[in-house]
Amino acid sequence: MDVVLIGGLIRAIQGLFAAAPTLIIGLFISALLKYYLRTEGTRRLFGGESILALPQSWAVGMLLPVCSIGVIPIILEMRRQGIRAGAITAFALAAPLFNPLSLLYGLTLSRPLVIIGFAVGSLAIVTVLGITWDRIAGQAAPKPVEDEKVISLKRLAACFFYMTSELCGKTGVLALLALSGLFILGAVLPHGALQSEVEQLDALAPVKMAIVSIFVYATPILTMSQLGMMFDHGNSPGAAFVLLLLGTGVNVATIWWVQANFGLRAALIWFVVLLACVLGVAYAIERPLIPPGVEPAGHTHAFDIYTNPLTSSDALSFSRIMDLLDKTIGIFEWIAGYILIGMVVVGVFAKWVLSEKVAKLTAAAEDEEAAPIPQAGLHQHVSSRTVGMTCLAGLVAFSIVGCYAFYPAPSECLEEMRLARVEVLSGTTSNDYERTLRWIPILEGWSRKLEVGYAIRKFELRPYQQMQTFLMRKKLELLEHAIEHASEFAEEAESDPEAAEHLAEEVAEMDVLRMEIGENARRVIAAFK
Amino acid sequence: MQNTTYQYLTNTGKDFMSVLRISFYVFALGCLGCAAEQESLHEHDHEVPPHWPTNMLNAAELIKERVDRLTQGEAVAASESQGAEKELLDLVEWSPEIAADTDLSEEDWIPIYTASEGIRKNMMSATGFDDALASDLEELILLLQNAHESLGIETTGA
Repeated sequence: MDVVLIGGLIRAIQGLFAAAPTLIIGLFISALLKYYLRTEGTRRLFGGESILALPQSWAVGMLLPVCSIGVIPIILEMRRQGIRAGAITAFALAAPLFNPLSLLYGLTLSRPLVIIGFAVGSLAIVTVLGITWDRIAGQAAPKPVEDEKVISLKRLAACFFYMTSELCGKTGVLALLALSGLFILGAVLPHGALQSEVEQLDALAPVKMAIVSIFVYATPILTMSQLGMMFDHGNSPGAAFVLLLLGTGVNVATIWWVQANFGLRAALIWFVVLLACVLGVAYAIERPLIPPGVEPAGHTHAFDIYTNPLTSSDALSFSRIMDLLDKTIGIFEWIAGYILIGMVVVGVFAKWVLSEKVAKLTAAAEDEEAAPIPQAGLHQHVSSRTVGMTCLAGLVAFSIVGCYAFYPAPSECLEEMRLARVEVLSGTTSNDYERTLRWIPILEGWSRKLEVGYAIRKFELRPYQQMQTFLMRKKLELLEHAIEHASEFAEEAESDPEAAEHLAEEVAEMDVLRMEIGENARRVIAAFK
Repeated sequence: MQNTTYQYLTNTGKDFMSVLRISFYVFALGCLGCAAEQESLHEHDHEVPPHWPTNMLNAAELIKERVDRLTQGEAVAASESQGAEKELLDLVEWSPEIAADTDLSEEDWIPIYTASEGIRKNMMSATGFDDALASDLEELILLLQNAHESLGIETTGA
């Protein structure tokens, strides 16, 4: 039972830190909608009552860098501002699927047209879902709540305290609800349970993925890397599409919020239509999108991150738990997580200890238009909507520019890969397999960043380059398997001659792979110079 | 506002626990017993297909074997013919990978990749094994053989 509960808790904590950066961004965006764009600006941003509301909401969602937890504060504010249910759905589903970072990552996968097709497919689904839900559910948009107009520094303070307050309120609760899905999966699914459940042409693969995906929370980048692994292993393309739409686009909190705001009947209609559309498209694309030249591996490690990280034989200790967390949580996520914790502390104080002082600090002093400011030269009146839209445009621009930081130049990637490769190969040579297994995913990650970093700077990615990085990842995975097998046989080798023989074979294979990885490295460097 | 949040938290909290409890039971019933813990990593070995080529020369030989089998026409049983076509498609698709895993330069690799892609698309859309396809395959065989020789690798073949 300890393994079950702690395994689930580890997955939930990993999800919390993964969500931290985009949750902060989502809170910031909701503050912009509330205090800068306000009702009229928010309506215009999401297309109002026009026929373009659904595709427009989809397009806005595609640009903003939020995940399915980060989108929660935004849809709460959209609902408060009286946005149509269909537009909220379109935005809520589209925003977590893609952002500039994840889209670029996806375009370097073996078949970039597949990713573009998935994006277009998501537009079709949110449009159908939005139209259907608006008609059948028939929910009228609630009367928008008009907030006091706050200006100047008070507005900045109001934004900050709104963000912290929301984190300690509805947004925080719904975020925890979303993470409970990861807890459930991590607790219930034993280690490695999903490795063979999404094979190519398995008639039930999309359905199985749909059941699991409801509980999944995944960031767009994680999903893209999983799609990459699925294509590399020849897994079910239909299941990949289901993972994208349901696993990344929706979580337990989204479903719960729909039910809480629109009633059980409307929520059931919404969910059934969504499921039908997603599964329909998944089965339609299953055969046509089978990647050519890829032999189905019979398994995938893409979903190990959702199953229990611990096995029944694992010794539970604080250091083991921290090691598992450290492997999956990056430096940016740690920083964002600590910022989030800081915001929670501020929010608790602002809401329950210093609420009166905060209210006084952020109250509207005077009407924005009552005291006209003399305008001359550069001293012009700038509406809050202009400031808000500029902030949103700046956020989008920042995420595009951020791609160049997140995906460094090829020279930097190659240097990082060299360092990681040294760790992998020296670990193998010195039988420090723990080190090798730790650095293999890091090296694989840098190989993807190399492709994207090259593509966004040179505006090309040649088939030869993709083939060399594919070969590198293939050999790394074989090395990983050989090490894991060797570790199994090593335990029995002293007493079992057959195990000793197998161990020798695995060690020989590791030597061959070590050499091949070194040779492949030369080719990768030559290809990307 | 605080009361509203408290009520929301309390109500959502109660509902949340109910949801969590029910979900846990349903999911546990559905998954426990169906999803066993992975006991050995050997369950998921990467199995190498029997017709996986060892090098470019071997790939050329294996392709030629299948082409010869398919051009025998009526002398070959239908099931054998289908098997040969499937293996031929595999070999064509694998050729760029086999070629890239050598010291072949990008410049010399591109013709193999282009030929392989062209043949693959034809085989996916074609209704049968025709002369045009046979000719393209001969070209690919030649490319693989020449590439292998250009590297000066000792020919061990299959």
